[in-house]
Amino acid sequence: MSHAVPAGSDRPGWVQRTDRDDTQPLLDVRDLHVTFRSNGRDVPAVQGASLTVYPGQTVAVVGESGSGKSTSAMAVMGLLPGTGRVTSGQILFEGKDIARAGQREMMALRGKSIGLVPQDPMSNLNPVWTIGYQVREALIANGVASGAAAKRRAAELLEEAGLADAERRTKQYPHEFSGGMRQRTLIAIGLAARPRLLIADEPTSALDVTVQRQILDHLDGLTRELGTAVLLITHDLGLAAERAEHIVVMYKGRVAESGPALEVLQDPQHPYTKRLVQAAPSLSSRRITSAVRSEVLERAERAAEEAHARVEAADGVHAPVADTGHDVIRVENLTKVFTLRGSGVRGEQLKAVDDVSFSVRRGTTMAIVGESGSGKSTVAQMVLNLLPITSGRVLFDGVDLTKLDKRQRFDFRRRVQPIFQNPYGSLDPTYSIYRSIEEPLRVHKVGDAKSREARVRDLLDKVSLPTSTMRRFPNELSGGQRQRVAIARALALQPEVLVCDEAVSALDVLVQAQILTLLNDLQAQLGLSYLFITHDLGVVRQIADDVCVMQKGRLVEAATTDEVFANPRQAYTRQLLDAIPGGSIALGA
Amino acid sequence: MPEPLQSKTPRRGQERYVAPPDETPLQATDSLDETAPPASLWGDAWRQLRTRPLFLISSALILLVITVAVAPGLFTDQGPRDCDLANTMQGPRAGHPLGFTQLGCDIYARVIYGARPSVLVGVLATLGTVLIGGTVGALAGFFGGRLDSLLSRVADIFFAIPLILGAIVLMQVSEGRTSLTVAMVLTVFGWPQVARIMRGAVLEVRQAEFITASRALGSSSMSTMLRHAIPNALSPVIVIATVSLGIYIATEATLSFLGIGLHPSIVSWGGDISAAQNQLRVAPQVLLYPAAALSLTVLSFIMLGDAVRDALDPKGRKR
Repeated sequence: MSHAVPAGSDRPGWVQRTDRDDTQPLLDVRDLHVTFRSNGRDVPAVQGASLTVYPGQTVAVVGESGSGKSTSAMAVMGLLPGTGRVTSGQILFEGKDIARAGQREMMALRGKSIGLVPQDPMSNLNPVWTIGYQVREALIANGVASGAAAKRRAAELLEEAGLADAERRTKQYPHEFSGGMRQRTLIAIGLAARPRLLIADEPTSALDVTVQRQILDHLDGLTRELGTAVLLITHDLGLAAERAEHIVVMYKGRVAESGPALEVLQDPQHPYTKRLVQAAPSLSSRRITSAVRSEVLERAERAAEEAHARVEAADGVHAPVADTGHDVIRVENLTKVFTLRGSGVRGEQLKAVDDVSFSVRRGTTMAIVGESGSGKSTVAQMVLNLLPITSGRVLFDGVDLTKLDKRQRFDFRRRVQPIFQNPYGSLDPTYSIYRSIEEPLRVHKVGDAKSREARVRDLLDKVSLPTSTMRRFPNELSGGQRQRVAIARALALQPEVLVCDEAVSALDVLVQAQILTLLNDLQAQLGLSYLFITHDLGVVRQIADDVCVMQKGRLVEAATTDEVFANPRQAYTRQLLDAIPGGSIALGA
Repeated sequence: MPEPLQSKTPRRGQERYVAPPDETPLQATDSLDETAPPASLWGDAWRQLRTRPLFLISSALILLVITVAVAPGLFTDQGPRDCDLANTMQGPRAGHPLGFTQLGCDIYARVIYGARPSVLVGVLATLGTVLIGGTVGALAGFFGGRLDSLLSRVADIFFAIPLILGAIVLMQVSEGRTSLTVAMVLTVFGWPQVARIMRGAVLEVRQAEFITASRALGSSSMSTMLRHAIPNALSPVIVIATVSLGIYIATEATLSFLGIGLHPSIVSWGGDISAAQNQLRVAPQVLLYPAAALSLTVLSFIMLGDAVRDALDPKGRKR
């Protein structure tokens, strides 16, 4: 790799370091142990991690939450949070052990030799200072430049990080920036003092895929040009493989497997890596299958008939007004206009959903995919009848939702249930798991106490949780377990349709795969129909039969999943597909 | 477009390494630890509280004060009004550990009997403020909009009147001046504080997805508020209620001291402190003991409030 000498290398801050020895490791972590103290006990977070980064190289550390990947990186920075400390092992940076270096020593290294790009672009910029000030701060703190020179340099750095019109941007405040622009700013700050090593801790996981791709491309080019080594921390195996030369897979505080990216990916040896490669949504290429589609459809029809009978037995007036055939949900010309607050008496109008039409076939999964602000969640809210519709209509089993009276709306609730994104927010923390799952039955006065308990047991069994879970509280369960409880709760009333709003987005890859498989099995067993809202095309491919692509409130493309993936017709869809990290990597057999 | 992988020929670096699988045994994905004891929100808080010295000391003191208030006869056989002018300002002696007041009353007996009206005022005023303030705050926070504006403005009006000033005016026009009257006056001016806190907590909970989930079930707004929003918003209210209980007791003493609190015929710490101020130089003990009892009681409630806040701290609960 030849380093082009960047223009303006005579300016302060441009330190060419080609004279250094490239054959010696820049960072060599050996048998690192980190523990945290909690309730008077030492809890190990990293147990013997080793990794090597050579100058100019990109190494990715991959693992799920709790694997110790971020803790290892923070140990290198000397920024372990709270009670964390390095108990044994070495961190050799340019041959010098910094594992036990003092504050002053670390301070000299941070920024100047080791830069950091943090995860969350929203909270890592101080909202009361201008962008320019915050970049200058990094320059001045590291003694790179000061005064007017720092001002000029800050603008250059921002421009280099890919912000157009950087001069003007330096005077803006973080709230005026989008997530991607903030991340670019953080990259500019991380690289301000031209560190030899840049630690990027999940630098793009809070961003939309298309933005993620732009940012990573830019970071790639920039670090290559400057000869900066990158330690990339990520949960996404596909992304790691695409961006790094070497991969270190961590599992429960230990390194499970490491080696050249492609080799690890195509020929995983450790059972954990094998599992990870199998589960990675960005790498998988097929829908999870468990039963013949026609059988599922049959079951769905039967479930629908049962639901009809149930509802009709309840009040006797529920004749469908339109024959929608196999479509359980039909959305026609749906539009939602929000009036923004605080913009004059009239208020500014925002068209969140603009003339969207689609239908969900019985027993199948329809995915709505789009980036943040595309209006996909608003559509879900309207289908759930939680948000008034501005115009257009939603037909559920032929009945117009807007024309339901109170009683009918209550019955409709039984037939359509939501599953939300945040597994930490969707269960009431003061309710035991038993009460949470039983609540729908109680609200709809189904059965007596005894039969309800039997039903809760049955539901827990369906989502493969032990019966003893009943007595527990949400804060004792992991995200995936909570999501399974949320599914059990949604299934309590034997609905026909589940609306899953980003239902697996907050979960680790393996747990995500597990939940997707569960949803798929349940669909086959119970003949459910899903409306699946997601930003992740990888997930779409795993679970959906049909896809709607939304962009800025409009429906861009709608077709079967296979069609969209094989032959995307719109430029925007193609852009989304291209942005799936690791999508182009061919896996070995 | 990122370059295709093949062009990144790894020169050197990370050796191919595979950990021996048995060194890190693979667990079933996302299995549940079935051995841990179940932990509810309140159960967890209780387990944490149990080990806190702050909590143990303050609750022991509070228990003592409450016992004294309920059954003063257990602690002394002297009546607070068994006064004999022959004993004026006499020092401690057998059976009268703290000596006598100017009117020859037993100080120890008066301190013991003074607990009941104070504690009663504190408890009643706290109940009143939590009930009224909690209801108003929950309604304002949960339903928002015009109801919120209306209720919040009403609360602001009451909030704007200084407690002592308002109490002076109200107490002067009231007839009875019993513990109940004082508690009612304190409630009238104390509820907006609880309402504000309840409103804030409910506003925050209202954003949670389990509230939307409850609506999607078909639950009415009222039942969603009662079953989900309020129980999750209770912790800050409990903390503020505990601390306020102490503050209300202190306020009652202040009012009694000023002569506009409890009727002078009722034995109370505030009244005794007021009566003792004339002899502060000659006989400081007469003022000291009721004042110490008052401070200790108020302090215990404030300490308890602090301990409870630590235990219910939501930050400590996230895993």
